[in-house]
Amino acid sequence: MMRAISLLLISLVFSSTALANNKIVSAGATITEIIYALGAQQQLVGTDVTSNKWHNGTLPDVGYHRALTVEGLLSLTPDLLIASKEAGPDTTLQLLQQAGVQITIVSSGNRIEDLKQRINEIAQQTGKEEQASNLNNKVDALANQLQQQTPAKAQQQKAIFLLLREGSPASLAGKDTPADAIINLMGATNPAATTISSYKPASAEALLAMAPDVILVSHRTLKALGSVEALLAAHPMLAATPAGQAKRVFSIAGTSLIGELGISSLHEALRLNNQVYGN
Amino acid sequence: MLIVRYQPRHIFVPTGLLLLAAAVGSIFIGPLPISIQQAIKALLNQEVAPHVSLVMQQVRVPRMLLCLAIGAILALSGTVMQGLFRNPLADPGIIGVSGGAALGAALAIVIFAPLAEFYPLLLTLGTVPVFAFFGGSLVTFLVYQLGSNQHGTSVAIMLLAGVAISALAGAALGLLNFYADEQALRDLALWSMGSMAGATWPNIALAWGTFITLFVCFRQDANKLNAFLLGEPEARHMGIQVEVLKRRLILLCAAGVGICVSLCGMIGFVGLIIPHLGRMLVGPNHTLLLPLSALLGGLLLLIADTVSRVIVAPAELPVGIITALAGAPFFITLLFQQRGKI
Amino acid sequence: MLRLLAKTPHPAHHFNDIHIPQAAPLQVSHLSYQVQQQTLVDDISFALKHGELCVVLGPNGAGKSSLLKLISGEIGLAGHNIRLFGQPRDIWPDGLLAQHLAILPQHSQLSFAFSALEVAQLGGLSLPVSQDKIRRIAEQNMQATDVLHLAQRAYPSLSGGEKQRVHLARVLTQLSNANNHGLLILDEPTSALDLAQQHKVLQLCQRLCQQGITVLMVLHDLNLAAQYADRILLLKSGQLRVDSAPTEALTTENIEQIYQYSAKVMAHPELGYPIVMSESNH
Repeated sequence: MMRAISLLLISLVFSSTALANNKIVSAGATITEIIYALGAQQQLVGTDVTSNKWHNGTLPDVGYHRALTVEGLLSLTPDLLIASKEAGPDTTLQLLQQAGVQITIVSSGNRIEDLKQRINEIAQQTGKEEQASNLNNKVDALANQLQQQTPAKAQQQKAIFLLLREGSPASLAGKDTPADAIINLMGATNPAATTISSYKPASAEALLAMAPDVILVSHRTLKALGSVEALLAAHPMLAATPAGQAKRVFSIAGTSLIGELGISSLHEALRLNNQVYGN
Repeated sequence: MLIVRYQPRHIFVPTGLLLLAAAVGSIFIGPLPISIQQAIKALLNQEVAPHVSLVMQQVRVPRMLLCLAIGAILALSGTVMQGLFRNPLADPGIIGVSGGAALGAALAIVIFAPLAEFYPLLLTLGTVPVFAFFGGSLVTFLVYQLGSNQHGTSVAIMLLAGVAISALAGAALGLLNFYADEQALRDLALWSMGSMAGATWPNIALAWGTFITLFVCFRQDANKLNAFLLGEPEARHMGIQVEVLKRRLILLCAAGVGICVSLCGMIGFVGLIIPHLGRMLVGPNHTLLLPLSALLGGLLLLIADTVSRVIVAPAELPVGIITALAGAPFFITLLFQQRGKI
Repeated sequence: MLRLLAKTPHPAHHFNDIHIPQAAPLQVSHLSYQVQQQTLVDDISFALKHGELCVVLGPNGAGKSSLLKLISGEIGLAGHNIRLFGQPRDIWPDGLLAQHLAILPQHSQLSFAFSALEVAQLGGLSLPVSQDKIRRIAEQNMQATDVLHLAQRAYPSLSGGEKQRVHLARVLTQLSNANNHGLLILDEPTSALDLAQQHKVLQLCQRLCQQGITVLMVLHDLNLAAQYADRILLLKSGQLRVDSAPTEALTTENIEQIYQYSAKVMAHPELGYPIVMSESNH
């Protein structure tokens, strides 16, 4: 009798707080960021490899979000997988669903509305609706501030983002990348966005022709080379651009570049806006 | 140097038992802790937690079956190719056949990607293996023509041809990558390292069908392949229709490798290591070597895949990395032994 | 690619009965072969008799190897210029031909670690008998070629001469079902052998001829040919210049004409066959 009662109690407790006591696997850096921003990280039992920065390896890593494995995920006994639309493969997702794991695919997109949509979706799954409205207000405030600090079209600077790796040509960020979103939010234009999408290798000539006023690189790149001067010395073709001549090279935190537009991307945009336009 | 030949059953019975043990082991080992009782219950379709029965029935058992067939196909193709080239260094991966097959498969993926929404089944079961097969056979013919002369095949030319063709395939793949987006690019990279994660029942049926076909065909040609080791003119003098045999075996090998590549990506070195191991155990006689290679190939891939599933759990290492880690030092050792002959 | 896709001619349907009584084991008529305007074999005709040991001699580039390759089918399409046991070579079914015509090449490349016995057994590929029987036949033939003691040795570890005798056992195994209708072609079988082994191989060939097998071989050593051949063919510039018994073939004049070298020929004091010696210091 006692056992029956306790079982009943347990099931009651579970059903009433099911949303708040999920065991969640997050497959996507942007999703993990939002879960942390909502204060729902206690519900996380595992993340994909790109989310490592948020928990510093304290949570199990389920690998690359395009190559999720059924058994690896199930071994974490999650109730919910929150993933971006790129997550896969499809067979894994189907089998996970059969095994009773709920799968939520969050909206994609690099616009502010997309980010807010993602926040709402994740909040719903984690029972953090209140925190979500606070967070969305913060996002709106950031967006507003950015809007106000954006100069008129004619005064906007041309900025490009480059992935610089030793021994391979510089990769240029085109449209449909978080870097492009950050450039637009910070009140600059990305001359590469009209011709390319995603990341593509860029020739020195193409870079010169774009005549960027500002060059953005990742923190890691700048840190590895030591200083803006060292970076320009290592990549002479950059030194010849207007940005190089004026030494207007700035860096972005890598976490704001992975996946899709996130909260940290907004903070980075604001910081860069201040740096570039001297507010 | 005396040759000691063991009784075939003294080799086949232990290998078979080992394979059985590995097969059973692989379905009881995994990142999800499942007790043996639970596992057996799940296999017998008795009541267990839904995720346990799913892992047993839809993940571990299908994967075990796919590993056995793919490992056997790769090992058989390697064995036959080494016989055909009369060269113990011929391996589908090293001489560029896998590269050609990969290029064919990648072409199919890119060309038919827009149609994927309408014909997903056709895409996985139809075009990709067919393109991989054509890519693989084209490269095999090319390498054979480049590398062979009346004295047999030249290892140096064969390896160089393999390098050249792999480079060509790599360049073409790179071009495809350039037009693919970031995600597809990562997918291609992962696929090129090989994975057994695509263990669906249609794939398993295709793999086993291929394995059985290859095994039956190769077995019938086993004695001819033995004679072929003496050289093409000798084989011809012994009554073998050399050109017909060669063409048939090349096409079968390319089909096998092509299907493996399209199902599991590039898994290297199985076709190199296994025939050697087999020859050490039963000698170069193909009537014994072929069945033993099939068993050993399944065994090796099964072990490699089990390791790949658990070593970085809950994530998974591409199985091609594990076979390469085991195979590359082996290949270098072989090169040392062959140094004088190249 | 073209070579691989080329169709192999083997129309078996015209093939009648191979046991035509008195048909010559090998009949070559007006056989010619050109490569890039160069005539390697020039209108050669001859026929071998049953059980004959025939040696082809001639200087380097005389066309000996080309002749052998044409007969073995390695080069050219012989048409009806070559008949084996009465039937044109080209219409013999591959598997059946192998039971009646065997070729021992000068070198064989085999790098896989077969045992010597396994190599000899390979000769039984086309034979319609059991593996056990093939093994016994191979062992008998290894006994005959004096390599049975090497049966379990790894083939690649054998010396050149040992390898050659193992292959001889292999081709003998191949002909073991020939029932007096066997033709064995050997391309310089003695090149890797020491003196005793050379004579042993040729004595074995003589014995085979007595058992009804016809032997055609290329040699370089005139004295070996003189001692063992029933018949000698002297080739020069693709032409068959001399075709006769050793005593008539190996004369000072013939040798001078074929080799452009003056030699002295004597008769063996007891056995009577010619002995060729170099005329030194001239």
